[in-house]
Amino acid sequence: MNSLSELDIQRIHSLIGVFNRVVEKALIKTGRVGLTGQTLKNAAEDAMVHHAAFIDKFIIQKSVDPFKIISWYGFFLSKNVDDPAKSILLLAIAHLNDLLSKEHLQLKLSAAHVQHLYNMAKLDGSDDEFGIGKNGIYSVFSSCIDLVNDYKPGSKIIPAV
Amino acid sequence: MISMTLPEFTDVVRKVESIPRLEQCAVASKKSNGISDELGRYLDSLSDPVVMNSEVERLSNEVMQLLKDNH
Repeated sequence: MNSLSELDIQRIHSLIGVFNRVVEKALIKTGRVGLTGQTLKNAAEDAMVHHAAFIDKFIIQKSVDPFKIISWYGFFLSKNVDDPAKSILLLAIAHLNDLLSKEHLQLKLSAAHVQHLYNMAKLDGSDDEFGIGKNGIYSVFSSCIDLVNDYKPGSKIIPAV
Repeated sequence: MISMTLPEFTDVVRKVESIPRLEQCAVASKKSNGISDELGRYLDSLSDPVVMNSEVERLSNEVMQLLKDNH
């Protein structure tokens, strides 16, 4: 992977900064999760290693993709802390849904669908017959963007299940 | 507040970039995955602490409700 620019790094850092502060407000202060500065750095490193490997594997043009970053950072953070309810995964999915609305004029997945994704994400590694992992979550949002980008007025929209 | 500074994060990124990769492979993707101008502007706006705080507040309220509904 070529080097990321300073602007790319600044953008990823800001994005992760928002996520960390939401985790802190929603989970740490309410005693749901314990977290240290080192845990954040470890999760960031794991996410960036996976990011580099993913780009190499699928020969994707180097870029900052906020959907990859939050999908993978959230997963690695959840994996490395005491988070029995895996609440961090719910926060990551909610954050991704919020980014989707920033990208596409308030279009978002429904609360029921967010819940469904969370229920499947919670099973990653323990019940892979029904679970989805970090790449699955990323793919859901990546597919939404692809669909909306290709949508043209008058197209037939397939109703969500 | 538990946080990771920009220099700390830059160190992480540069360290990862320095890891040699042996395998360049397999499935060519047609996707470029560039982000939209809208999302780029949003990410850039987060460097303003006022915007950052407001986004954290808004998103926190949203996820607190989700957590309440889930647990």
